[in-house]
Amino acid sequence: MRIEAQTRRRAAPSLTPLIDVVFLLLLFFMLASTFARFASVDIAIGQDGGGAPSDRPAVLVSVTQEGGYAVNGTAVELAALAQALADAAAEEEVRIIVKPSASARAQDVLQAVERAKAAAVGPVALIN
Amino acid sequence: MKLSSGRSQHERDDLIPLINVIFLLLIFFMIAGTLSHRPSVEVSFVETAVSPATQPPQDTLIVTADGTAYYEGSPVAPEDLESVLATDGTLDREAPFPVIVDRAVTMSALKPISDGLKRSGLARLRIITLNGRS
Repeated sequence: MRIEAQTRRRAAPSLTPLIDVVFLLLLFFMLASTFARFASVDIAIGQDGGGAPSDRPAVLVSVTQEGGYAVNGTAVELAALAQALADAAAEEEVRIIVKPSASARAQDVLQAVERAKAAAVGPVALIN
Repeated sequence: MKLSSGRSQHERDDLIPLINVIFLLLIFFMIAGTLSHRPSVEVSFVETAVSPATQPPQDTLIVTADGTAYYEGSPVAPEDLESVLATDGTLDREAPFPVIVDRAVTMSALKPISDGLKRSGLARLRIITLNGRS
């Protein structure tokens, strides 16, 4: 009887509470963490009269309600937008003005702004 | 006595691979995931492809698909934006102001909100988007 008690005391502590805690932590991190890759697009909501008016010629990017794009009036696909802007800016330094139609959706407009910024041919302004 | 001790040793050995796997999962989620605030309002983020990565958004100004603005979780009329933002002492007017915009909102619905932000003295907006899987 006494021998049996001594053996039990020598046994390693139970693993079950440890597993419980690890499970809890696992659940917490699974539910609380996100794998979404957040990004950002900075736009100026122009203070009128701030800064000298630019003497660079403007390239107009228009965005239609259906998500169509046009550079200086010529329709382009979104994929070709950066190339079209680069072509328009080949001769001289320009500034890009994105002018969406009133019923254009934020998704389409911000995609155009993003591509125009990525083309890096000049400052990009969004006129709304 | 010997028999019972042998069986408990056997059960313990069975548990160790399980614990190993759970530990691995735990470490994976701790390292690969980032803890984030979920927006308090249902909103579908604008999807972009090449924009610079940013921190997961704190609760900020959210514009839903119908053009309603929510500031820190409660709806704000565009004409009240100026007074609501004026009460926020931590607002830095020089820094880009983070905004979450629903991808389906139209420009005409955004107009009164951006005008309200302009009246509040903000010059730059930082639209929080999601970079696509491409």
